[in-house]
Amino acid sequence: MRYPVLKFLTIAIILSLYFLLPVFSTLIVQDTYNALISYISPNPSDIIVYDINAKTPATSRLPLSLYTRLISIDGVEAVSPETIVFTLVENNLVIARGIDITQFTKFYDLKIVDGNNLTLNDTDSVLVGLNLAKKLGINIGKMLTIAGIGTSELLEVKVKGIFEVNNEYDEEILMPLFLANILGGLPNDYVSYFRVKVNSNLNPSILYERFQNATPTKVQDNTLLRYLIGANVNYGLIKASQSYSSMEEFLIKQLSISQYTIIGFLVVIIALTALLLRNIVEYYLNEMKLAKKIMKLLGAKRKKILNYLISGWLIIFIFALILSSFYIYIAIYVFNNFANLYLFGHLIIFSIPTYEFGVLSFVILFLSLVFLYYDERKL
Amino acid sequence: MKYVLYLCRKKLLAKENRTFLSILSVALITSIQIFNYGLITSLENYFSNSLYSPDQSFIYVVNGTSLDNSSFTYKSFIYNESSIKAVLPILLLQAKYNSSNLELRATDADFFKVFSYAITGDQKLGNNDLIVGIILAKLFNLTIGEHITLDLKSKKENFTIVAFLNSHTSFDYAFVTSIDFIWSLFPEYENKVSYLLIQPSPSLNLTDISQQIKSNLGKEFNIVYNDRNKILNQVFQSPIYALNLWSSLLNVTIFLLAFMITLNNIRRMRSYMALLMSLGMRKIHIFSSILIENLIITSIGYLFGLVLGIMTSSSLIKGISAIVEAPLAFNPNYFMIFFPSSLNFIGFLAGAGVALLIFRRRITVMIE
Repeated sequence: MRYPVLKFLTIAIILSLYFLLPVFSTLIVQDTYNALISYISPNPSDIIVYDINAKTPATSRLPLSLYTRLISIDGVEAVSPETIVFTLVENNLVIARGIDITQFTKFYDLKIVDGNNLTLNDTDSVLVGLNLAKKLGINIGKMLTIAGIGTSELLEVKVKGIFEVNNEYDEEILMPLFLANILGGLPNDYVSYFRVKVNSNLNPSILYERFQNATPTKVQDNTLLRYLIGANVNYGLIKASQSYSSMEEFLIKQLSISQYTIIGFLVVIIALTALLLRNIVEYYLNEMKLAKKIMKLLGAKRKKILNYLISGWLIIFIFALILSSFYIYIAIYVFNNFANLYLFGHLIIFSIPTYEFGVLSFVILFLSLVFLYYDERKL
Repeated sequence: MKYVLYLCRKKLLAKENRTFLSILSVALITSIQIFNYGLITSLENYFSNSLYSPDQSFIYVVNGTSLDNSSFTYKSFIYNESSIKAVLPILLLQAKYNSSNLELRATDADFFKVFSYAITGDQKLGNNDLIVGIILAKLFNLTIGEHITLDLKSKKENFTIVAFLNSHTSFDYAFVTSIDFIWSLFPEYENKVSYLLIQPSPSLNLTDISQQIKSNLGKEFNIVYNDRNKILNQVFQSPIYALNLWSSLLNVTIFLLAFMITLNNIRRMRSYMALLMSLGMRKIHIFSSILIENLIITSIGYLFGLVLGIMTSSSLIKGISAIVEAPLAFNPNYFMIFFPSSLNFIGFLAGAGVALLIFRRRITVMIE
């Protein structure tokens, strides 16, 4: 028997609208989660050394003198001390990253798009990421007033250059370590964490082991940290982990958010909207009632009728999936190009949640088939 | 009307109508919305409390709206000591030392009132005396008592370092000298300042400070400070936007729910309605009864959801507070409780109304 195309189209549109809530819930939660875990370093292979007692690498406090031990470890190629501060610039939330430019450039190839790079003697100058400069209309030589969040400090700094590294840092401000320390309320010889580049033989646990026995090396180069390092504090409470896992660990430990939490959240949403799904299935069965009666009159068995109904439902389901994928695509385009949702100064980039969307579709299909099987007998 | 209410009651109590499930769905969606807004509000309160106290801020007085390019002639500033502790006139100059461009801040003796705790060395600012920020001292390896030459507007001037300043403020990367000395050195700058730095008293009253500034200096003067309200607004702008978007999707879901429930309920109860029509009931009465039925479902669901939302949010937020070890508390407000959830109420009625409107002919045919 032929299927009623127009009726199927109506049901598919309703079903695709039903998909909106769980899919968009996943989209918002998943991409916010991704934006959070890429906070510390866009490069997952970097090792982050931070205070074991800190809730997050961004809120960790370590003495700068640890640099002298870290750099002496066999297998360590580069160490960049960094201070992360959340600031307000022209009423926009922006991350200011305190760096020693000579060390930071060993990790990232800073392309100076306009102006000049920072030097050792720049005391009140900063570099602005290309995306941030475009967003706020910042030019070279402009004086920026930066307010620290969490401290009452307000600094006036000069824009010396505009840089591009083609990652999340393009939305940040890079400044000498001591400026970020003033904004974040840290002493001059402290930093948030150390970013460590190692050769392939070294992993976070080996680095941690070697760190315990490392002998501090005197900084000889003419770098900013050479001047800022204070007393060589014997500070043993450090933690080393891959940059992604350090942030994930924080999320799981402190906020109990993980991939499983997101899937659990989805299951709750589906359960809550199960009544709607059941009503859609019931509506479909009512629309097919006449066809079912005719098939019965023609002597078709229940199995055959059921197969016919399930096939019809699958057609609707696939069409609804295509439609909802279209909605997602449009929504992602609008979010990424017009909505500009920021999470602590970083733009959240939305992408199609393929894995979660697959799980979601499977769960909804399974649930709808259960409803179909159950209601088909009653109607 | 009597028949309409009778039909409505019969339908609501009929098992086929799944009234309870409909009420439960409206209630759960409403309670989720209340929980979401409750969580955001509690995070906002927590964040607000963990920010610095406003009385710790320095307040900058500028002629214009920002620190950039502010410059004016300074007259004495008579202030009320109950709201202002100290007023420092600051004149900014570019100084060249060791071929580096550095900042020289000229100010008066009140500087010691504010920064005495952070000074190592003599607390004096006479002619040619220089206080050096700790960062500059480290970068250029300077010592107290050392004589250095600064290039100020192409004029070479000798200074003696009298002290170091380690204040954890922007003064740590600047040179500080006497403003009277700079005024005497450069007649074109006489009585000029870039901005005034105000240290407020612990009982900070911004309106009072603002009024004192306007009456002392003039209406074109403004205050610039690290405003925590702006920070809060910025931090929570995107999460609230995302939450509103998500909340709108819940409204769409509830609209669809009402739409489907109405159509399916009419099908289930059509023989009953057909019987009533054959006994003389008019079509308008049947449609009205369906709308009233939905109004009752959504009202009960909404009220139930409000109670459930307030009760569960309070305990869930306490649970989250225990997990994240942060003192979060559920502080409901009228907007959070009534505005987003009332859209559910409208969404449910609209869903039923639209279903009746679109399928009015089919419904009539079905019943007849």
